[in-house]
Amino acid sequence: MTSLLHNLLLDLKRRGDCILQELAAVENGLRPDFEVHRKEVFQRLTRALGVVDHMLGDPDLADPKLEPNFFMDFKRLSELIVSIEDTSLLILKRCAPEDRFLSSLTQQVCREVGYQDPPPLCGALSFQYFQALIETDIIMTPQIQASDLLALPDLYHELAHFVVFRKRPVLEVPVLALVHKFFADALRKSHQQGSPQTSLDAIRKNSSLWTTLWHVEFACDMVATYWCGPAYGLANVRLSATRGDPYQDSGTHPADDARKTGIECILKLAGEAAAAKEIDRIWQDLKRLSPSVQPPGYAKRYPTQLLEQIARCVYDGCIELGFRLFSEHLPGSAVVGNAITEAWVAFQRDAAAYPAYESSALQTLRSKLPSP
Amino acid sequence: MSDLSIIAHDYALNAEFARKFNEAILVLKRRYLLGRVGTGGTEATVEKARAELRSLLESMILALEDEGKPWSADQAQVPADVVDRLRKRLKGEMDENIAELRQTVDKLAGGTALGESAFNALDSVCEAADATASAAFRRLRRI
Repeated sequence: MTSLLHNLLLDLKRRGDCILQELAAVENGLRPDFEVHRKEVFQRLTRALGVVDHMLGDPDLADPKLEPNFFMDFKRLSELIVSIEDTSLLILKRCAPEDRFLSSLTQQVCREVGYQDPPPLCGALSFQYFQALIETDIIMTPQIQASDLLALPDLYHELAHFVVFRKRPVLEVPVLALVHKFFADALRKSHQQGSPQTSLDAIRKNSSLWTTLWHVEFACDMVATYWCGPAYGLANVRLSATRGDPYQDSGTHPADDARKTGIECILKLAGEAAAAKEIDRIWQDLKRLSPSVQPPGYAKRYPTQLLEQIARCVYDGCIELGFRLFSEHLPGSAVVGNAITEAWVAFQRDAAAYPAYESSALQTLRSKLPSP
Repeated sequence: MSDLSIIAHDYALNAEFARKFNEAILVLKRRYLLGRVGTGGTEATVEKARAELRSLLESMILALEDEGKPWSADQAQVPADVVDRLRKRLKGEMDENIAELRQTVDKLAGGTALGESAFNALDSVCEAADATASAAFRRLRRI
């Protein structure tokens, strides 16, 4: 009698083979950049199914000492296959005009900012704003993103997720070191001062939030600002306005107010203190509209000094990685970057006339994007 | 920008760690508990797995002992979620487990074979890494 794991592997193989067939069927007529992604996914899935075959033929598969470890391998393979089905196959089968436009646009952004890896494929299929899906090299955007220049800076944030993940030693690890040191120092100081247990617990809690996921979000914001400039800060204000309380945070995301401070730190390092000040002015206006107040302990949770240190670290990391600062483009070379900056200028100048401007600007942008 | 991006980021990190750790354990369990190498494997495969596991374990021990000590970049190899999960699992037996992991590192460094007790400690790390990757994947797929 075959084991449960053996049967699960057979089922996974059957499912993977189905996806492989579908990937083969969409080959005809795909645009070159979509075809590159299809080929890569096809090869990756073929390799994964090769591993499944290898496991199925392994004489030790049912050995009680090894079986739990084989099962763990099964889970990772299953996760990969499900991810390919839900993301790559979905975009490749649809390959709608907006997916093609956004993918071309992402490729152009990658050229402009000095992104060194193959650009991710883009699909306007998200039901949850922008999503960077690192495992399958895909960015999902809102469905009308192809017609929205003002939100495009968020595409830079998603690209930054790939960079922060892949260039960990240069970007994430030094940031983590700063965060750990900052909170360790705070804890030591509090101990020395005989602070109450609640204060020590609060420092530990803040440290845990920062070191688990927040440092990644701050780093991505900062890389995006380095690439995109003040427009990223403006897009952040616009997005925050739709999300309510600027001081609210969660396990995955720090407060919008603190993220705004992080963005300003990069702008100041880039010599754009005036732009940072203007973003802060708009932010204060937004806070005037919002009834929320800064919660107790907020300043200790988001120390400006730490944000400044991280900004310096990310800024230096961007230089080390050869990324292009938003203000250092040769004239006419930043097709997307300029279109975004000009869109924000037009919107701030006359929001009522902006829709007509955007429609024309998008047409111009489309005409300027090189063929993939 | 959405929760999904950061969860996907988290998943990628956790899955990579879980995969690497488990791969090395499988090679070594087969070699030392079953007394053979797998199909297509050689003693070089075993040596590679020993080196990989040693490096990951050294980082893990540093991370588990983190309290009160300066953080070092070597700890970055181990995702924070895995360390947290392992701390919770091992609560009362942390010192014994760290001692066992440390002995395993010494054995890996000294070219000595690993026995059942070493694999018991390694399995607890492997299970924590696997559970963390699975949890991140479930959050990602909202399942």
